[in-house]
Amino acid sequence: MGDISFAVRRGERVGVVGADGAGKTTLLQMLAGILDPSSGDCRVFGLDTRRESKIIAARIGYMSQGFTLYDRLSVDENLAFSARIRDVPQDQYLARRNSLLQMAGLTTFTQRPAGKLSGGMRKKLSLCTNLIHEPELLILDEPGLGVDPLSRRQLWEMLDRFQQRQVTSVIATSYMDEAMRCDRVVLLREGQVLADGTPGALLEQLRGRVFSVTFSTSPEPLDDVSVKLRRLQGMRAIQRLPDRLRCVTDADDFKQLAMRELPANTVVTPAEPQLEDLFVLDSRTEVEMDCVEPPAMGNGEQASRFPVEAAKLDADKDRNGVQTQNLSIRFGEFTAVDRINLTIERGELLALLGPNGAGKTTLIRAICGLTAIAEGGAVVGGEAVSLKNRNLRRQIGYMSQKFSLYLDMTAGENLAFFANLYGLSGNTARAAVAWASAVTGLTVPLRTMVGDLSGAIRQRLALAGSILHRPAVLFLDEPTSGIDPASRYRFWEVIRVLASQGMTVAVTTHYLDEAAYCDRLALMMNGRLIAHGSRDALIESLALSPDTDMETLFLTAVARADSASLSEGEG
Amino acid sequence: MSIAMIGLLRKEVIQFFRDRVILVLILWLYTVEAVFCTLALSFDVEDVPLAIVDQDRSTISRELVQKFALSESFDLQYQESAVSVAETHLAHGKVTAILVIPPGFERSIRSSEQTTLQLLLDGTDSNIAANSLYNARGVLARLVREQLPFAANTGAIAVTRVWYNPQLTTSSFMVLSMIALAGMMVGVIHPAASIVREKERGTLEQLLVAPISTFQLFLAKIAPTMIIGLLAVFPSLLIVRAFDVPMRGSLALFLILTGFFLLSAVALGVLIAAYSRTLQQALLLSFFGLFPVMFLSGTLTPVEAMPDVLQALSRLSPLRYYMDIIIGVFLKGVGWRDLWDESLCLIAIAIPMLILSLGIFRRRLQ
Repeated sequence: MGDISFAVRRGERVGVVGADGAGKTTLLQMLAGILDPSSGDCRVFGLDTRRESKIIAARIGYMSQGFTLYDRLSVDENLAFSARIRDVPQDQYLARRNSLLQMAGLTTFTQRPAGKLSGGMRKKLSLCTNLIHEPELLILDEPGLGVDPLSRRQLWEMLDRFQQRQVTSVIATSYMDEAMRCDRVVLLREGQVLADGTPGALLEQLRGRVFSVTFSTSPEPLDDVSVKLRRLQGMRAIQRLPDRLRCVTDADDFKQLAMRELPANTVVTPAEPQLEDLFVLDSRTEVEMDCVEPPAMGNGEQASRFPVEAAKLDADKDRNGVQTQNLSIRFGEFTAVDRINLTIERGELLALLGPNGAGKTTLIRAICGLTAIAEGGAVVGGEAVSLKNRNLRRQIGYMSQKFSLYLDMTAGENLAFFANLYGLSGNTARAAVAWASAVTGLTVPLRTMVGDLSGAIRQRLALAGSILHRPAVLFLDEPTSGIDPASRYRFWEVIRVLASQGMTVAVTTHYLDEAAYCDRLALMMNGRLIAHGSRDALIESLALSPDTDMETLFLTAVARADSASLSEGEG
Repeated sequence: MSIAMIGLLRKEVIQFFRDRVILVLILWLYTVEAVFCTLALSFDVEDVPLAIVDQDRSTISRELVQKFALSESFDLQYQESAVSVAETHLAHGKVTAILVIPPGFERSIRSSEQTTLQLLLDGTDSNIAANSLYNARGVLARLVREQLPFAANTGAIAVTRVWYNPQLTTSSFMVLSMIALAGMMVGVIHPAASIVREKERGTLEQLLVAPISTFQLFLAKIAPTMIIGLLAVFPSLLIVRAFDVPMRGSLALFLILTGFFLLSAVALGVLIAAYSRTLQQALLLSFFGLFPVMFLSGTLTPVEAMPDVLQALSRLSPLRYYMDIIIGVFLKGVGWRDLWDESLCLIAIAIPMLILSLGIFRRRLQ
């Protein structure tokens, strides 16, 4: 982090936005007096953070990303503890405790150990423990991380109510909707301020820079259109969505340029800008406008080295995709997954959404053959799902949000290891690594230690590692969280290419932006599938307006299902 | 061997050699620590601080003082004329023993009368006290032999001869038990740490969705530790040699039995890993598991000195049998024929533990 200058007024709410490693946490820790600036000054309430951090600490609330609660202590004990270490007077404690618990909706859970609360409840309790001493400055480090949209909205309702008391707050976030709720937003990039202003003023900079490309009559193949768009002058980013392309450009005459190159039925309309578009528009951002064109499977030199087995994706079209029939999973008395019927077509992108504890992870684990199925069944890539079916695992690629890589091994060693795991060795393994590296745009030398790589490169490496064996189905768990927007767009572009070659992709995520890239959405709640279909189909079935955003769509569907299950219970 | 298995093993080896901390730690345990502990935990009693009160002041009493002053067992610190002064030295811990030579000592001894010397001992450390008493008797016996050759007993004299450890030093026993302990610690902690690290990083999930069996994963996790444990025998042979401990028995037998001993250790390590979620938990659990195994093994106190219940429990400690084996091989030079019951016991503990740990590892991963 270098040469940062910025000021926050009393009562202001400032959002800090940036990719992992941009310096968000460093900045917040500096404000909280935890980290000392190596040079320059940092003053909070006019006090120096280096020498007067104790006084500052008493007047702020700092909610870090990681540790915030004692799992073994109850809700009440956690709250009481945090009040005691901050010298909250006993006569005020009770009143504050009651109003906070009320606000957080935790009144009925006071005796429950914090470790037994859901992710959303934990965040709310954590916020309560930081509000109990009524701080003048509230510093929150990604409060919405790992929290489902429903809990996230409740968390923000709490913040809004607290804000009415003229509290200053600084909030790091990777959700653009959270950033939009701030009075001012600071965009960080590689430890430097990229932009700083009100959300409105920042979006104003993007006017005439963001466009949506669709087709009036018969849709053109988006891949071909995308290739043409890439060659246009001033193109900064292309987002490949299921039904359209979203472009960020710094050319003033984009519309004319595009219409000249693209088919006549192309419709270019200005699109709603996003704060993040500023990152890709920034001239320092490296733009990768080369095409994502992997060596096609099953021809050329690669094919001669590649065994038939690995290239069977194309050969046996009926075998791919995922089908579940009345799939149920129970843990003792508890039904975690309740009669799910879900089909994911070959080459389709499906987003699996739902509140924390809805059963998404359990469903995916079952489909991967890691959890026993109580009733019903599933077929993945032509293989019946069971704990014992080893061939099933060859059909599956899995990439978790933590990018499960070995940090103490080089990129090449990681890839070679994953190739070996799937039975690829020697030239076959080398060909697979070359192919996967080419597809994912992995340009980093394979000798580099993974620990030294940036988040974006690790993500590419993890993706490469999980597709080496060309699985029929690829599972992604919040694959692009914490990654800069340009790398994110590129990632989804790669996923689209893989899907077009027949790979089926299922994504579980809390970032509804990620869901927007998928062809269909499947919403789960309390172990049940409450809705599924394309975004448009869901909007229609819920009778919402066509330009409804993903979050509203999600929350409406969840609310409907909630009231439905209530009336069912009453009936 | 399948490609996946080779890949798993190669990965473990790469990670092992990249983890400098673990490498240094293992080397340290087997060498420096073994040497330090042997030197520090030596039970040999030497240079016991001593005060002498010579009330006789005769030729023979002066000769006796001289003998104590020259003895390696004692360090003559004070010569006092009053017993009370010497006693304050004892009370202040400046000396551990006081020898009082009574008036008329020479006269009595020359006239072959019965005579007494008084040895006051600080009994807080009973081991030191008992050894000092034994050593003091030796010094006195030498004096009597030299000064009164004619008064020698004409009766039968028992000639003691100590086998396997003629100098009666504890260091040869200590160095061997330290090396056994090092094997045990590395054997438990290394596989536990390497499995739990994968849990913490989330890489275990990635391995679970891959087409490999839990058994392959289990093998890959224990194989490097086994190999390292067996290789570590060789540098430790040098350490043992440095303490003048002979290797009298067969190296091959020793390696085979060390292998079984290590199997029981890695099985314990895998069990610990199966039940812990973080490295911290795994390390705490390791110590929780290591201590009873250590204390019940007879390395620190003889099994014979334990209460019956603990003696029975000590039969479950693989370290106990391994200690018997190691001493048999090194000091006694006995072979398979004399060690077969210890070996069978060791195998009878190691194999079920291994099977149990595989079973639990498999169940806990699902």
